[in-house]
Amino acid sequence: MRLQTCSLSAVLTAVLLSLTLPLGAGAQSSAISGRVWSDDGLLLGVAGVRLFSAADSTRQRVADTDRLGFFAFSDVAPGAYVLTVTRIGYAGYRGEVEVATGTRLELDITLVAQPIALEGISVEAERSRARARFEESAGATVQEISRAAMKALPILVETDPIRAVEVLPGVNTVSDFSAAFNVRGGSADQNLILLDDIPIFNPFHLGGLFSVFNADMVQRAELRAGGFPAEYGGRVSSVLTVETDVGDGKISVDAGISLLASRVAVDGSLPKRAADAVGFANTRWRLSGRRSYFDVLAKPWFNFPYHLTDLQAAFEAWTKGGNRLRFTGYTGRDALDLSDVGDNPLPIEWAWGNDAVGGSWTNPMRAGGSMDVRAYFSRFTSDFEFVETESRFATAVQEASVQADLEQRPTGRTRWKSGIAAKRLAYDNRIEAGGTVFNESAGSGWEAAAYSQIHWDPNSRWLVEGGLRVDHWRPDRGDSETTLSPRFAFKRFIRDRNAAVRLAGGRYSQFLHSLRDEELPLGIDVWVLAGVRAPRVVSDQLQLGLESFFGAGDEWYASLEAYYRTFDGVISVNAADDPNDDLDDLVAGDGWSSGVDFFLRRDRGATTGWITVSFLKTERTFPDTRSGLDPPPGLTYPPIFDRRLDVDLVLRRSLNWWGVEAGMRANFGTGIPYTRPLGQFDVYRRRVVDGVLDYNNGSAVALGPRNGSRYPARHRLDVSIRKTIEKEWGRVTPYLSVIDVYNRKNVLFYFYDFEPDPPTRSGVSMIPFLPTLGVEVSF
Amino acid sequence: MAGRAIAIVAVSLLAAGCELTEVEVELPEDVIVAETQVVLTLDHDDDEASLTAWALLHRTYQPEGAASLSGAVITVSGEGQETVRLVEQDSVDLCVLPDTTEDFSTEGAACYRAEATPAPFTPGEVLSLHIRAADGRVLTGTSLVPGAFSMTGLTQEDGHCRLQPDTNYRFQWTPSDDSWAYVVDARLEGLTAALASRGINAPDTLYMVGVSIGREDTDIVFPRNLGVFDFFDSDEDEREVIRALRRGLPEGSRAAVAITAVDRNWVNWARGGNFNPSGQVRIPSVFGEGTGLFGTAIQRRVWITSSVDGEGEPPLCGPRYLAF
Repeated sequence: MRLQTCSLSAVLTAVLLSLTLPLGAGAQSSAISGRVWSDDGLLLGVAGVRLFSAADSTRQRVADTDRLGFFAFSDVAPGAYVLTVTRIGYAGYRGEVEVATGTRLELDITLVAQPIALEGISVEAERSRARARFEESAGATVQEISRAAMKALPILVETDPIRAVEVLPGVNTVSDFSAAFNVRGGSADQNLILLDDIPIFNPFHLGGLFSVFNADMVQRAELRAGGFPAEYGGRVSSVLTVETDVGDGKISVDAGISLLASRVAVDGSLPKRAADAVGFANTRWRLSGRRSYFDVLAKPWFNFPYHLTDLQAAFEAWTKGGNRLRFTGYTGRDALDLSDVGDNPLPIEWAWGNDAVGGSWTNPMRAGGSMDVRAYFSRFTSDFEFVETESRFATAVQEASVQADLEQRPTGRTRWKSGIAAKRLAYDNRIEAGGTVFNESAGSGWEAAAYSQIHWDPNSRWLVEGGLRVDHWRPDRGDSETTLSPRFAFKRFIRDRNAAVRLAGGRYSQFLHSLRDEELPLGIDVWVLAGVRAPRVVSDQLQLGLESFFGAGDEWYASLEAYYRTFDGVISVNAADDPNDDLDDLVAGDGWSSGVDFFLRRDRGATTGWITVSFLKTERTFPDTRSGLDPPPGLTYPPIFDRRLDVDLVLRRSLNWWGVEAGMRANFGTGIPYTRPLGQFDVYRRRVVDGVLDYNNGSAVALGPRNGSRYPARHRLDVSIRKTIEKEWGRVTPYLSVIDVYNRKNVLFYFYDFEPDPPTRSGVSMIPFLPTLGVEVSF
Repeated sequence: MAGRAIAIVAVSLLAAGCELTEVEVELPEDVIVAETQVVLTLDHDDDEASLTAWALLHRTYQPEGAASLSGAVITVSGEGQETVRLVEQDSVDLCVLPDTTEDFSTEGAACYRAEATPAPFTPGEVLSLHIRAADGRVLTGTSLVPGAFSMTGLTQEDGHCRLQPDTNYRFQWTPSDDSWAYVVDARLEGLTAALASRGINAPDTLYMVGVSIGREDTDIVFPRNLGVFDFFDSDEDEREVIRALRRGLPEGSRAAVAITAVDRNWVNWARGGNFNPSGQVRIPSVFGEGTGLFGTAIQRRVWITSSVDGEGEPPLCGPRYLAF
């Protein structure tokens, strides 16, 4: 048995065990469990393990290994079996096992690496993980997109993991110009976006047009849209995890050129001697860089000194005892410098970006248990300056965290996981001009969290999950908050475990908010922490769903899920805040959402893809600070992301001619709300020194009911083709993507102009017909 | 604020080629907009206040031939029996500077004014506005007049003082109770000659404004901290002047400066509300059958000249401001 212990793990184990509920040993029944290793010392997740009767070769049981290569079959009848293990990239394993009454077999199985063709790998792996989630998770609504699936989607210039998310059920976007998304009626700041478990506060370039994630570094992205268990905290609406691909340890290069940027990723491993010297059985690393070249390409015509850069690194090492160390680092910047551009009247210097670094240590334990210890630091800063006028808008937020998780399998039917975390968050926002500070706020706080959750499959028909999360928030100003968040989920399998009904619910909380105005198509997040200035958000959620695999080899998957959510403690900027009260610049409100998400996916066959149909209704209630009344009356309205119906069709097909792979996305969405002007009037500037008014201040609008009108329905068709050309030295993949094939002018904004007679309405559309091309190279 | 401006600029760039077809829409609602200000100006020596009140009645854009807003009855009342009626003026120009660009039209608008010394109202008093338009529509509002304040460290003679050429001066004053901001605006004159020697093509008169936010923000550097907002609206010649004025007031120029403590309503109307692509959103303080502003303010005024020592010149305002 490969088991390694150390004093740190012993201490942490003791602490984490103290969180657990009393657990009985459970009745001893026959069981088979084990871990699957690669021949070079990796624990292999997502390997398919099948158990056949030796007598008649009928398949008895199926399981997938978890991220640490563990699998388990409980309640195995005594007898002789054949166990097979398969995983893409490795030669299959086949072995015979004999199970006696009341015994628990623990196996270590090693697979030998075997080069294979790449076609279909990702689809098969995705399908396998989807089946594993279906079998093993009671409540969470999870959708995964692999890197290959992302690349098959039509793209806006660059393959983008966050933009890929918008085609998933329950996900809604309000603008083509922003990759920010809303999940099931939650605001965009209620999505926790994690890069290898490190939160990224503003994961966008160009004000939201592109995400910071370089697709060449992404293994896959998973969106948890609801029902997530107690181990997840920090945001109430969804969790998007972006997992870095650390490569296979062999020196290789992936590079790409698009109309936006050029990028390169290199991977490899430590020299064997160096790895041996520090006790590593296997090491892998991957580095990537990306830079845009708007500034260079546009220079012959005009000077636009903007560029973005991303640098990302990942390192993974496995010890000879099966422990895993992993480090991730990211730094990205957008820089706009108009301070020295001809006779530009608005000399601007603006730099913004994220920095993140984190590491984890994973210790596999006996009987499928594991311990994870993680630490990270993440920050986002933005500094915007009108150089000439000493005007500055600066924002910063940062988070540092240390956390530990312990997972155990006390019996063959139970998994128990507990964890503790300590976080330190801080923010600092400032607006000043001409020597006057118009707004400043800063704060910090400590968050301590602990959770314990249990997964129980009492028999082959039911899965039960329960958990409790405790979040304690202590801001530097304001009262401490403790939120108890119970979570539960039940799943009842039907149709021979090919279908299930599930019910999940729980309470979710978060202690920070973004002030970004979601009605602006572009913008950056400006974060504030809960405390004396803003409340915490608490969301109670309930969801009920039906899901099913059907067709040969799980060709199809369908789910239908209804949900209801409340949001208490959401905030809005107080448009009428008193400058003498530095704590009233935000107002608290509440809201709710409900809806139904339908998802149908085909994973096998010449054409794969999915269709999503999402119904949503959501409202927010805030004090109407725009009313001018004191105190402001409450106002209930649909937020801008209240798109009542959103339909996405995503298809992917390998065409017979020249090995071209085609992708398509069609979208239809009903109109989102906006506030319609009823009229316009001149705005005058007060010249107090002269006791008169002056013109020259534009026009203002008299508004109708807030978000009382709706834009027309949105629809769009995007297509892409990719062709992979195999060369002796590697692969070349040119691609062409066309956004909005039939040039539908979906509305971004309406501009009403009441000055002419008759008045007119013009506007700006979303991104129109936009072809883009690029090429990727791997060797 | 700046982020919003940049977002709008960026969207405008990105949206080039994304125009939607222009269509006609129904006529706008006819909404009366009443912009009413009551300013109490404190005397330099004895703190006696004089009142200036003016109201511009205009409306949302209407087709030509819309009825005039003349004939309204506008009154401002204090907490006691005092009531001031604003009198309709023959010309709107007495409320609004004539528009030299001819981009704007005051057709249908009407100007009402009142002046009184001593003022019938006092700092800290709650004033009520009542407007009955000629067509019977009624608009109302209330405002709490900010408290009185005094200049500190300012040496002046009958409201006049002097700066050494090309120096800045830091105005300081005591807090004004219940004020939400201080507007410091100035009309600078004699700039053409004063800046000609530097090759700057300056207009002779320039208006600049600066603000201090909150009751306790009781200083501003003149003229360095004025002109921030004017900068963005100015042409290049004016920007050159504003840059030059950061060094100080050039010799031979002069300025009328008003330091004005303004109320909640004034601030709300000036800064606006949320983003709307069709125009600015104003937070009103006039309600009923219309919208608008009813703002009150307390003011002190100073006249500054820029000159070297000389007989008959007013005293130096105070020590020069040194920027670090």
